[in-house]
Amino acid sequence: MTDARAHTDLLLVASFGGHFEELLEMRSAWGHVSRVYATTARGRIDSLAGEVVEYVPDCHGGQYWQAMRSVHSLVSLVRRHRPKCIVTTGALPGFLAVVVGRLFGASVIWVDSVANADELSKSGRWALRFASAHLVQWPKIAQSSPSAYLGNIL
Amino acid sequence: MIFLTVGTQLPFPRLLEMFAAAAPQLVDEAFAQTADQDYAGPIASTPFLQREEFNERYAAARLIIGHAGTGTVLAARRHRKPLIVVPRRFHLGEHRNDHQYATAVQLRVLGDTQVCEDAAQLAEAIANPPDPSFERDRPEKDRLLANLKCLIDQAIAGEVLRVPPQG
Repeated sequence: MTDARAHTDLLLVASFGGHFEELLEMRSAWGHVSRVYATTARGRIDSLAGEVVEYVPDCHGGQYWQAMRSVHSLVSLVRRHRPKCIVTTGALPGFLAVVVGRLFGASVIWVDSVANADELSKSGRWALRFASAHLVQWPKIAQSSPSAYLGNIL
Repeated sequence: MIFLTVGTQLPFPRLLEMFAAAAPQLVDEAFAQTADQDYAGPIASTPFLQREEFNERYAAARLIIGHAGTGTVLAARRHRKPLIVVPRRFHLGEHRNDHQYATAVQLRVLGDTQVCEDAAQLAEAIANPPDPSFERDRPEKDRLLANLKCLIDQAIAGEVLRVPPQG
């Protein structure tokens, strides 16, 4: 019988593509915990064979209806898996996961992309208000923002 | 096959010209993603590639020559291919800032990617490509992963996250 209050420790969210690949570069940081991945592409992802991968509809800035669909999907995901922690590299669906996660009491870690070498992404700026921990991958950005530089994936 | 890639944001004609000048004997073997609908040089090319096509090109190449974009660096690493980069320069109008040069400086320190700024350096690097045995020390990556693990463990234990001191 399954425990009705079972949960997954960690939810990992990233837009499919560069953000997602960057997230996977960090996967050895969570090899020891139970986890679910969520991304904006359907179908098999070879590098995630054996992992649970959920689909979240994609959205970009200004796309209000698409964003509502993303939020709806994320709420459903978070309710189902009840993660204690969410880690995301963005982009906008990742930011929405930050907000949804905080609403459900999860700790949320934002890792801004290494491709943003000069300033935070827009989603990254918004995430400053909500993230439990907010990381950037270039020290220069950490110096001029509330974010922290704790290393980079290069 | 030698795969040249300039990323999806802006053309980078200097890189393509540099390659044709540095290794004219290899032009027939090369394929370039140019981000430039008007490219008329000697290298077989296309402006843009879908993600899958990019992966196919990376997989099939024996050498990657690209701009110093983080996506390019990570993709070459993932496919375990030798990578030579030419950083875009702000003062040449090739980029909106000089962060590719900053990236290139960091890559030089890491030592697994060759960074070239002129045709002579590029010719030398093509003749002696870097060794794609990517099991090198990456202290900043190790540091990020250790810090992330620590934060994740705090979260799972129900603690308020404490970001460690930086520097």
